[in-house]
Amino acid sequence: MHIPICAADQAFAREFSVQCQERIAPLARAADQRGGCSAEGWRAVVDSGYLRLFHAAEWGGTGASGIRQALAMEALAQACAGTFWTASISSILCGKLLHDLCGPQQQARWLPRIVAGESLGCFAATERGAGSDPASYHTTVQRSGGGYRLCGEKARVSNATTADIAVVLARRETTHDPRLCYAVVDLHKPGVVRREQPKLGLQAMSWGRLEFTEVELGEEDVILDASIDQTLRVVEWGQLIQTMCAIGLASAALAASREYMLHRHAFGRPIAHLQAVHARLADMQAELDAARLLAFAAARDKAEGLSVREPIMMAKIYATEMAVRSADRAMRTFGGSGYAKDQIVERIYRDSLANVPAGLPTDRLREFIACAMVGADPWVYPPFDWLTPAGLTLGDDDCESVDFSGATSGWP
Amino acid sequence: MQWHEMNHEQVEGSVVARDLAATWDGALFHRLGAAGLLGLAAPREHGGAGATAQALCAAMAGFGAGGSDAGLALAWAAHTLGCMAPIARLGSEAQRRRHLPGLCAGERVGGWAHDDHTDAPTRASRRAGGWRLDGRKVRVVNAPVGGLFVVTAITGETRSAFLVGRDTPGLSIGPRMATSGMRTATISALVLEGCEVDEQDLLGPEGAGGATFRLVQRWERGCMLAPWLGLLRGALARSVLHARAHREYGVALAQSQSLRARLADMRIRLELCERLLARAAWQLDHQGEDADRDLAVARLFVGEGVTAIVRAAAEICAPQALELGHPLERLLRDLPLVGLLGVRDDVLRSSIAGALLGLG
Repeated sequence: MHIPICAADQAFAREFSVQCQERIAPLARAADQRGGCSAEGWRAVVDSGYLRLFHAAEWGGTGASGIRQALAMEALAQACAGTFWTASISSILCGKLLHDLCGPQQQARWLPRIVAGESLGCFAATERGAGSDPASYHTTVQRSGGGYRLCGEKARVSNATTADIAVVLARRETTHDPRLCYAVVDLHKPGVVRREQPKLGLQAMSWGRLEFTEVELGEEDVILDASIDQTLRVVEWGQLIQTMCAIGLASAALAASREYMLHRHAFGRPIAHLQAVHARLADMQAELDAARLLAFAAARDKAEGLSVREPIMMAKIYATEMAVRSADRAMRTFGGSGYAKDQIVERIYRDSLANVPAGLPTDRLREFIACAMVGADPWVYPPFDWLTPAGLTLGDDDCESVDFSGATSGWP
Repeated sequence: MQWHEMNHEQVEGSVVARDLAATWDGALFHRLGAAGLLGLAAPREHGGAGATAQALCAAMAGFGAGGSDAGLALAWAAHTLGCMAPIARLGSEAQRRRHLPGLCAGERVGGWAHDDHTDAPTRASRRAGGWRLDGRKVRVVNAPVGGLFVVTAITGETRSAFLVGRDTPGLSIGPRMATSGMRTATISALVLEGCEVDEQDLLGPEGAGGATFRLVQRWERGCMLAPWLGLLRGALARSVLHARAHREYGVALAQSQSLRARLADMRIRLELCERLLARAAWQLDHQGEDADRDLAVARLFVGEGVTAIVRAAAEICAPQALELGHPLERLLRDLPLVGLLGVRDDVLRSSIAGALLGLG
């Protein structure tokens, strides 16, 4: 059953998109080349009301519908993917962690500031040596006097060097304790060291390591025994961020390709007349339409509190990989010109590569979906064995007892 | 859902035999008509159910899920989308009254006879009281068993459409095409040599051939693949069952991570196909912005999805699936003929691009 986007939401999207194109898109190249989101860019994000769409009025939000959230996400990502990530990680991922998983003191202290764009948040989960397997995380919280101490290191954290506050995923002191904890950490505290990690794209966004050396935390800063179910629900917001970033990038790739093929001439006409060229545009549109339909339905349902675990995973797998294909098609459309930094497509291409492995990589998400279909366990893997499925066993060729000298055998 | 059950009970039991022998079962088609399947979107006053395109597609997807007869889906499409739809939407009251009830009931099988190459297009020349049609339609689905055809022909500077009955003098049916797939359907050429039709057989005004063509094209793009959504659900379900149950050298197929990844991709692709087709059907009902583009996008994406999912299913379920009589082996053979009623994929892409670029 198809539910079209209503006229009011379309009008909202147009207006929001105009703001993004007028105030944020023109700053994207400089942000990409210099690294970091400028004060002017951030002001534009705050003025657009983007940060407030995802939260209720009590936190200073506007409580927009899922469709409007998705439309805004796409428009902002289309203007500047790095700025989109910076804003979304802070308001959506960190904001939802604070709202859904943390206590009232943490919410009161940080959430209104995050929604207003005065503080920047991040979510520190992955570590240098661990990503998809949280059981192997090493960052811990230990009891210390009336509070806790946080020790460890997180890597590949979006907004690492620019954030004011981090929600940190940690284990209890004994690392064999399977229970998850969250630590809400003021990143300006003593014991916190931050390092930027140079990366391929999303240059407007900071990305790096957080090192915690006996960081003192109050009782109220640590949430012990975090609900796995609630955690997974919030992580879905992260997947939605990657999905909508991809859709925004694919839209940007399509718009750039369309413009270019209408104005670039060869053999006496715009190259749009060439079938090989415009066929790519059709494929970009078809795949973008497909991705949007699934993603918007998931966004609509998520904002209403419905369960969207599998739809969001499917949307992320498809949209993020689709965006890389679209960026590649755009590069081919631009030909050699696309390789130059004065064109938008090479940035779109670099930015698009981030979304596929971010959060949970698409390989891992496929495992979750498929294991549920076939009744397998996605957390337990047997050791590598290429012999058995090939019908072989160790010791099949008992070399000592067989004469390979060739004297009697007819085999070559 | 009743349509799913109807397929399972009435159709699926004979599909292997009908495919192997390339048999058309007219009585089966008639039974489906009597049950209301063929008249779903036809006007109520002429024997139909008056369903919207969205309801039609949902029903046909449900029907498709109950079986694996793609040839029947092709015959259904040519009959309902290629013949009944133009009559219902462009025909006069008299034409609708005369032809629709029999087509709804499946007593007569309809076909869509257009020119897919233009070196020898069919021409209609004026005569007293009507026209003379001369030409050859190379590949008409349902022609060998069809009773009524919507025939396009050049009239002066324009194209017109005519309703031509099988028994009209000057109309002959070519020998049935022997195909490796869609063998439960029938395909042949339609030859018109001095075929005389009357004024009352003109569909719409003179010059409405283009409008007829565009109408059939829209319905083909929006609805033809609806039964395939059901067929694909079946193919995916079979693949999952096979992966769960089958072991090779003691190792379950489901242990293979790459095989699992393919199942996930099949599931995702099917989900996307369902949504795109739902949007296309919505566009048929509402004619919103970008309707034609959305229809072409759905046809392109779902057509490719059909191929990808059936091939993946056949590979996962191999070698059992490659035995004659297995549904996946048959669907593999049916794949190349899915596009018989439409245009090539590259032409579809050009249509979509044309809409995006404002060219052509």
